[in-house]
Amino acid sequence: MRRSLYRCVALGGVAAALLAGEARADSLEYPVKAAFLYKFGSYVEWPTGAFADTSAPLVLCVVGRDPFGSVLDKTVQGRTVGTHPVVIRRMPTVSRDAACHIAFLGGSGEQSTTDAARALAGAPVLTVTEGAKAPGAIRLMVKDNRVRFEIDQRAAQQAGVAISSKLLNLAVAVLR
Amino acid sequence: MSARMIDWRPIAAWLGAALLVLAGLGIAAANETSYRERRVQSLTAQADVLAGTVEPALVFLDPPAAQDAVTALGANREIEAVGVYDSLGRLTAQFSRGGAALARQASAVRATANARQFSVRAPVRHEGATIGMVYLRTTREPLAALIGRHAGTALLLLTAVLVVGILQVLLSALARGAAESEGRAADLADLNRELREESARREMAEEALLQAQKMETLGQLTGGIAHDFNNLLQGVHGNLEFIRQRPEDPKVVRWATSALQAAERGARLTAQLLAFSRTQRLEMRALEVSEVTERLRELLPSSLGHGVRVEFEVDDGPMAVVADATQLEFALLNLCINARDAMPNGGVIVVQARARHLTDDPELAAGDYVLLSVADSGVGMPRDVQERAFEPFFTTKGVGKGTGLGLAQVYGIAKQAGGLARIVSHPGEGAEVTIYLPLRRQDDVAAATQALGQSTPVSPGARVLVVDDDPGVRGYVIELLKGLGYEAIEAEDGQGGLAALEREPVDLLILDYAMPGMTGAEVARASLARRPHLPIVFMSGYAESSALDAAIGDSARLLRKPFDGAALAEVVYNALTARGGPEMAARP
Repeated sequence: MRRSLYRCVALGGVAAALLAGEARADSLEYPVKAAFLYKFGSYVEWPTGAFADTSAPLVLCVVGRDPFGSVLDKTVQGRTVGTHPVVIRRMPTVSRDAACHIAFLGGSGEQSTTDAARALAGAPVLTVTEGAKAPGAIRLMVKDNRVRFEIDQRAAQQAGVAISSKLLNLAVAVLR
Repeated sequence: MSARMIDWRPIAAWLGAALLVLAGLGIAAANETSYRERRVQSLTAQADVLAGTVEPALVFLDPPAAQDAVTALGANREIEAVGVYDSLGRLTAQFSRGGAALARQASAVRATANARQFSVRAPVRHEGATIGMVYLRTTREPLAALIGRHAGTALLLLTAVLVVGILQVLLSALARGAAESEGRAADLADLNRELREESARREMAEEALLQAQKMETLGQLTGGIAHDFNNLLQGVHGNLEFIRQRPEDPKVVRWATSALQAAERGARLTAQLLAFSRTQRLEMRALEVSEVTERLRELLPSSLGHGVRVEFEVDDGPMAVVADATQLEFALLNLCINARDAMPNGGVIVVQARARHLTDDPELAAGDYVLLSVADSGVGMPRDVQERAFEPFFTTKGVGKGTGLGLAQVYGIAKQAGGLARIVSHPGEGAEVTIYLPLRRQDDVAAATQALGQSTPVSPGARVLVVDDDPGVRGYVIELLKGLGYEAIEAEDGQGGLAALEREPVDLLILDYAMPGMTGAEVARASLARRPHLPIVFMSGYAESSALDAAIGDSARLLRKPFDGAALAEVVYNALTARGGPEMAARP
């Protein structure tokens, strides 16, 4: 109860900030990150079988802490990655059989991002985290007032997920 | 005059050239269009590639990444400006060469294509949505490059037009040249033909002239002569008629004399005609000039007509020359005719015969000469005409009035007789033509003539055979011979004559040349075969002397009919004395 309230207040604050006319760069961070989250999907290839069929949805999971709030839902609304419509699922924890294609690991007291990443190791999931030294295939960060990202190709390879060179080119750093 | 034909060839040629030019321009235009299309296509492709490259940068809001791609494109020297615009139409990345302009807003961007510069715009798409735009513009093609692109075609075109033009000019020149040549060739052919025709005409004219001269002089004679012949015949006939009617009348002698005179005159007239109309062997003999002048005196009235008077001034004493009597007569006659023609209003012609001794003559040797001259008081001759008067074909008489040969013949006759002819004249004072002939001392000529006139028998007792188919002539000759003291026998044809030759000794044979059956020539040959040295005299009214020569050679003596007793006596005397054969010596 307290957590949902806290979330509402946070969301409200963000919404207020958004509605406050000229948004400041740092207040656009999460809407941009939210957009990135699903846009990564365009430059990633999952192994066969990851999708039941061409019209199967691309599941974007938010595991643990959700810094985006409704912005993510609004951003993703009606979007597709290729032929797959994007849907959001939120969960406090994640395991191998969580049918996610992209998983944002927010971390929580129940499951840290590291544990979450370890839990998904080998699963065909694109793991996205925040922070420079965070685990996960893609790590979002803010640099020079812009949202940038690092790519850990080893983690992606482990997941069996192929990242397009176009994305690699845009990455601040690529760990191979 | 026909209407001028339009020559289609140059028009066609220029039309062709114009078509070529149009075609060339068409090709150039087509080339230009396709060139532009290609450039635009290539640029569009480049723009698409760029769009693909900058798509992630736009998706992930990474202008620097887009800028990298844009800058890389700037290495292409043909690119003047590149612009990448985001989803809001704002210029996110750019490149411009040399400060070229670039729109700040995507909405202001236009794709263009003209002769020298192209620009394209291409959308940047992501997941089916347009998230931005790229704009590419080429540099402005330098004018030289543009010209260069078309230079090849232009040059070819120009060459083609020039070739057509030059060919056309050449063809025109050729056609003109050919036409000129044709014209000149035709002219030459015409000229040639004219020359040939004129040459032929001239030849014919010369021949005709020669003939005409003969005819002309003949005409001069025959006109008057034919008229007078009638009168002469009248005289002969008339007088003989009187004799027949009144043979005992004492006037018989006078009638006979008149008839004889008429006949003699007629004979001389015929001789003139014959001399002129036939080829005649010249008979150069010694003759008294007075013979010629006397005969002339008889001829002139009928030849000259009544418009002029003729006065004769003949020196007394003998004046003998060696010449052909007929030719001399003819020459003087010609001169008299000329003199008459020089006096169209009538006048006096003076015929002179003088003997002179010349010493200082530039052309004639010193000696005695007879000067026969004919002078008139007519229009005279200027100096230049005098100089050319003796030239053949030179005449001052109008066309058809004189052939210009008369004086030339006179000169020829004079030369043949061993002399020459000269003219003295002054315009308005008449002219005098003089024939100079060497004077011959032939006393025996006069003596012989006189002797013959007395009918002294010469070589008495010589036997003469007369062969003539005409009994009248035969009888006359026999009478003459007997009168001269000869013995005469007769035969009426060749056979008879040959038989007589066999039977009796004959000293002289007188033959008629033209006989039926055996001709005189045949008889002569047959006679000579029997009696090789027999003297032969031919009687001929038919004067084919050259034919006679051919028949029996130089031994033939000729007695031209009609002849008188004196002529017969002379010929017979000459024939007998020339031979003096053994037969004659044997005769008592």
